Amino acid sequence: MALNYSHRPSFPAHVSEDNLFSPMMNVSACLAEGVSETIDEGYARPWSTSWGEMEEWYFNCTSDRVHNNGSPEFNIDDVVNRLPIDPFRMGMGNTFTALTGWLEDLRFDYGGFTRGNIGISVPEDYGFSAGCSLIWKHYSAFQPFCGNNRFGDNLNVGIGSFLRNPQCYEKFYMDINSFMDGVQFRAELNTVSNPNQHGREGFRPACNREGILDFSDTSSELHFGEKVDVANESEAAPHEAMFFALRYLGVKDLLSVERVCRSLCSAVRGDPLLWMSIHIHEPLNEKITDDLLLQLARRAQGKLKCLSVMRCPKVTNDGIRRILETNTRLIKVS
Amino acid sequence: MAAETGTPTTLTLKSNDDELFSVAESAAILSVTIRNMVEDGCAGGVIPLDNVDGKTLASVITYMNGISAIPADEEKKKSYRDKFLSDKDFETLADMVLAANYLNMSCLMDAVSAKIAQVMEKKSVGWVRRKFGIENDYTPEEEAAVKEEHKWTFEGVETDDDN
Repeated sequence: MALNYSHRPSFPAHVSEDNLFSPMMNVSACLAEGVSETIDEGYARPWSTSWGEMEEWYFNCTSDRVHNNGSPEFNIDDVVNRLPIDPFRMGMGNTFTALTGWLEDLRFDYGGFTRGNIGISVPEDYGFSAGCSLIWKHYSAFQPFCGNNRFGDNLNVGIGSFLRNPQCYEKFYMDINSFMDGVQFRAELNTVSNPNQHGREGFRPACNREGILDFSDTSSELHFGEKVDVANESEAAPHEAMFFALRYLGVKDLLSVERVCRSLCSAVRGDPLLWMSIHIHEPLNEKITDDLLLQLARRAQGKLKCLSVMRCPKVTNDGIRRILETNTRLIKVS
Repeated sequence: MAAETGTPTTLTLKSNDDELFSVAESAAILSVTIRNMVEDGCAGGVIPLDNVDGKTLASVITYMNGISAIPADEEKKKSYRDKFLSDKDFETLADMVLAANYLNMSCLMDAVSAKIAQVMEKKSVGWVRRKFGIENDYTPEEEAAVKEEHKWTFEGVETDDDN
């Protein structure tokens, strides 16, 4: 009964019209359960491409989902099982419950591609596939918006106010990430709650216009407020420029800088990007032990990519193994 | 592009203290912020840069002109950047990194950030506080706690405070 989809592409290059609703069916099916565990499971699994399989999966979810993991076909080493619970940090457990009813309605109205009762008419040519990609590939979908700047004024408003808050360069991208989680869903929810406002235009306008405006209004408060306030409060606070320099400092200097003052401390400890590469050089190499290394690696919050512990006599293979367990993205160890 | 759209090839930038600067479009578009404006066709008049003062903007434009005159040779560009930044003090560097962030010029931002980091390398906590005028806002208990953590990194390690 249970299916192992791990050999299938995550997002098929071509989805035939018959299958346009497959991903949505999947989620909808999971949501029908109202159990966050099931949502996570369903989400972590690559999307299926055919109706037949979808129906089977749907049946699995609704009637007998306990068997998914219990089945011998779900090997414990299957790569699917090792995927993070919520890989895009979408907070699906909370956000999606609000969309459940809507998604179910869409599923039932699939035949006509219309939502008569709330007044949205989705054009057949980009209708649902566009919707799906906006929801599910929210980050990559936004990238081309930034890249080719198709929205001219709106985007400039957003970026402009963004850049007026002098912050770390990486933060900019990070916050686009975390912001996008919010915007996509806010945009979709707007579509649901104010359907007549957008009429036939469907998904895109809701996301482009309101999304970008929300971006400029909220991101500065939510993501940047703290640091800017700190900088303005006192003349004796560190210059903003120092925060940009942090990513060029080594382990030893980062640990030293965090002793200088509170704001530098929270910047050093709170930013996992600073700890994505840990290179242990002299004079730390003689002193560092497994436990100390693990303590440093924890600061990467699972994002550690590169670890260099050459000539560290007190670091054992066992210590490296413990770090590998929690840092699945580690690609280089030397 | 300029020929097609009739955009002037010289742009006028205005700093937040109302100084005007003329700069060739080919050099100015090193800034992604300015490039986006040019591509959107809204760079025809004076471009106000509200977050950059005249002194900093002059430095940035010197850099833009210098680096865009060098053909695609990363080695030469790097040595130009090093030379350009070698005589700048911290205040200038700090203003430049904020301007580079605002203008979205990653090459300048990276170079200046690395230069600032170089100043902070191997320095003691006290030196950094004095040099950058940072107040110690820890309570004695907090400072003791933060010192206790990763104490091992500081034992028997010399700092480089004289430079």
